[in-house]
Amino acid sequence: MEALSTLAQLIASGLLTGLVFALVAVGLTLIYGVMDVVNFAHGEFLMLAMYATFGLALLGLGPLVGLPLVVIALLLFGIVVYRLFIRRLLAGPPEATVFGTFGLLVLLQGLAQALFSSDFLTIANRPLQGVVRAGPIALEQATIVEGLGALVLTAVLFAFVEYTETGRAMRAVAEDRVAATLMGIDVQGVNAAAFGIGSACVGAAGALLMLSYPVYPTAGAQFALTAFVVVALGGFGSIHGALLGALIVGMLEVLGGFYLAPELKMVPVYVAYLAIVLLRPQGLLGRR
Amino acid sequence: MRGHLIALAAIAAVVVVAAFALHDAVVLDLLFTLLLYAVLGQSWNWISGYAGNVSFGHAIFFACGAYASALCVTHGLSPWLAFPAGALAAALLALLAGFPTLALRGHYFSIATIAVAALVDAFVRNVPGLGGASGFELPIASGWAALQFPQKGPYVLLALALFVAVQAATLALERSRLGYYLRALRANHAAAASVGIGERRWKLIAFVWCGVMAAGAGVLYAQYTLFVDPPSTLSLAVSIDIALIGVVGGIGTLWGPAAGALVYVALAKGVALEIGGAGKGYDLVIYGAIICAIAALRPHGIVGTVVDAMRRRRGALAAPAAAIAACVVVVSLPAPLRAAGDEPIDVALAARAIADRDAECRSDGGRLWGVSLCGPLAFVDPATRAVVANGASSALRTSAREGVFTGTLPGDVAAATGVATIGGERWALVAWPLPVDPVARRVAVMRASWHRVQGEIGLAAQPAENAQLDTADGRYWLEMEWRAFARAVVVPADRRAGLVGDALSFRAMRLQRFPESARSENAALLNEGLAEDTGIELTTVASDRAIRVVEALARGRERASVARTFADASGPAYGALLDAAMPGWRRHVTGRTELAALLAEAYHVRPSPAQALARASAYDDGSLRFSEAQRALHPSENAASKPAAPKAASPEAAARSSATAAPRTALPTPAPGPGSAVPTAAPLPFPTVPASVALPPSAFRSPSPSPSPSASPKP
Repeated sequence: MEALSTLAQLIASGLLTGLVFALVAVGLTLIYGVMDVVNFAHGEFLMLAMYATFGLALLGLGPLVGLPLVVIALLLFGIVVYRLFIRRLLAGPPEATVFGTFGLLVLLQGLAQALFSSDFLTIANRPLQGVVRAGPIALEQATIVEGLGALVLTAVLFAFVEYTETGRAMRAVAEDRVAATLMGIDVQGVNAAAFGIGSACVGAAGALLMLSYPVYPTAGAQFALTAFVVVALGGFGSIHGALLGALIVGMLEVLGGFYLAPELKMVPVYVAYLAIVLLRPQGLLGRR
Repeated sequence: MRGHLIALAAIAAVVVVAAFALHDAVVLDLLFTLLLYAVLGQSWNWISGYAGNVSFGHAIFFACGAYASALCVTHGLSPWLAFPAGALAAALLALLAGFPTLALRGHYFSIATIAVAALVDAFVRNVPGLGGASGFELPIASGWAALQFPQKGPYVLLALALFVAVQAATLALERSRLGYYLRALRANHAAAASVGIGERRWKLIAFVWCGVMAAGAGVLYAQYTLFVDPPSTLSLAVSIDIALIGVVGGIGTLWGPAAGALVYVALAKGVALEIGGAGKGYDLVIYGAIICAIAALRPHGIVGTVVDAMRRRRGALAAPAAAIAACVVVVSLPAPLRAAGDEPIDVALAARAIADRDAECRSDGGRLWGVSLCGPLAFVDPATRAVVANGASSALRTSAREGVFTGTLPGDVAAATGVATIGGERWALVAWPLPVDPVARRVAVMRASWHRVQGEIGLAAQPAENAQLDTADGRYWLEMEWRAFARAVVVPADRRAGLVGDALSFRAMRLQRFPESARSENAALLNEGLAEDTGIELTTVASDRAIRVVEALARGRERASVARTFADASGPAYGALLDAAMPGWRRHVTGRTELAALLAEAYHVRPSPAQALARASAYDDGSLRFSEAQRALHPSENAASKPAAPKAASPEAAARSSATAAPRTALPTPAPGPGSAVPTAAPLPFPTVPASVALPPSAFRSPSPSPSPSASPKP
């Protein structure tokens, strides 16, 4: 009984953790699906969003109030980065996007360190510090809001990709870039929109995460690393795969952290990844 | 072919001359790093460049060599054995990791290498005998048999030999069947498979060679730094450095990794040297910007660009020639950055102390004082003025090494523990050697870090001497105060207030005799006292706090003279007791705060000399009685100016105290020198910390559960 209620507790927090991973990973996989770019600076975008949330909190706007502003800021930032930089990388060989985005990672981490120092910053008077109990499960309010907020935003993104004109254009470009061009789709515009929306996802995630995490120059790196595994596990370019992968990874991480040891929490995640890609080299829901 | 060989020979000749002719540790360090990274980059280039499987876990092979070296040396075997052992381990690991993963495509393979590296990291940290998270420190030796040298020249020659071998092997690869097959697989694996090229088999062969090459670099690295642990050899950051070197130079090219290593060393290290800024991130900004620029403007890497230019003109010689020229530039470039040749500071230990401090101050994050304690920190050898710093500084003429920076202290800065403004920045300086005990080491470093920022907190660093405390009377009431403090920190919270009241009453008694010293005692508490308290708070888990406080009090008692050091003993007690009753008190401390008054307020006590006299018998068990005789001989008016002569305790008192004293308090009291007029005290029966009264972990982090009744003075 004791063991069962512990398990219920772990599964609940694993699911909520997974939903936040999903929001980060969906942005990453959207960008990959449309333009075949793995944005290695994705975690640094998340870090910028967290600093932006922190800045707004200093002005008196809490993370949830500031969230729309951060989302818009990251959307614009993503579009600018695409127009100025990523577009040029796409003209080069495939490895150019790898080390170009790595360069961006190093640059943004350095900038954050230069501007904000390496200190851990936490917003003052964080809201939602209480604990909610339901039967054997006790969850922090902040964790619940993070998980459910991420779920809502992921659902909004699904709907956007599924039902809007831009979303359809993105799927068309992802399917076949040449054919999409021939159909009169502005591929550059779609790419920019996808990069912007992918960045907006981490904008939202960053604002939510400030409810319970501190921000520092490398704050995004760990989330991004997890997101890479999530995206690969689900299949590169598959948004549904990213959601599925995120829930699996969130669950494994929480269970591993509890039953093995906190510092070994990623071990089951990596073992599961290796096992899955050995059986399905394209990930769970990816296309060959 | 001939052009490449000539270029290789020319580079070798230049480096050999440099290794013998130059004695500048900074330049040779850069050269060694350059050659080592060129080897690692080339190893990566085989699987990721020629074969097209981008690896982000290449550090595992490097670690095989480094750990083989550490294991050989610590088991009494020759480090030369580490070359075959490390290579064999890396080859087996390559087979084990490569067999399932090499068939994966694109990013699926890259993520798989991250996963494999993370699993290897977890393995090394958790399997007994591999050094765990703290790794290995290799014992110091000297000579070719031990593969260790006091100068850097031989290391450079060894790295050069490895580099030449790896370049020659790559030249052979480019013309071998393996090389053609790999490039065919990279260009179009389906087409290659259709003509019968077995993807897994040929890539596995290449992967094994990768492992062997990187392991060789790992052995040299371990013998050079004499320190091997998971973060420095196995982390994702190391793997990514290797990959960036391969890619910046131009992947799938013979000279690409060397060019990439040159850019990496010149930028990452050179920028840090020139720009300085002690970990402020400017070096990362410039390095990142240059990688971005290369990616956007010259996406085929440096060598790709040079080769393009050559093709349009003539001959393949210019690319290697450019590399030679670059080598020469590196050798001559840092000449103005010359540092002292010898390094008496143990860099690995200093790096560990820096890493400890950074972790502690980061987890503090300004919690205690509202300002971060992170920032410029350097260890300084008073004999040679050599420094090991946590960030680059042009004023210190630093060069990067093992994640830290070695340099020399400018002539106008005192080579001692303290705070100094160097090159426009405030540095926390800690004199080498550090205390041997790891806890004392952490506290000492954190103290210096606090002194660096105490001005920001509003607490001036003013030296205070309290000679009255070395008088018999002063010492007596100080030791009574410490006894009460020591009891107060170990008892349950509800009994604390009375003991705090006693301690502060003993202090009041003392100040009644030396009224003018209230100010200087408080100044010392606000300076050294808070420094020591901060050091203990940030380096100790809450459950150990009481023990550390009692130890600090015991150290004070063992000192012959406490005129300058009493606050080191009292400060931690004040801090721990205030933390327990008045969380967040530090934020209200200013230069005008009187700590004793703050403590009295926190525990609602009104200390008085009358209470001191009434309660003295509860603390003075006879071992302090000698001071009463002293008081009779030397009236207190004279005590401050004419301290009493040393006097030993009675035999009974000594016997009694040794029976009750904790082992750590039974250390001999330092004997005063001949002619010294400082009174010494016999060892006191300090309360030990029995397990039964161990405090709950949160005892010194949480507010006192209930306001304690005020201990009223008795008539």
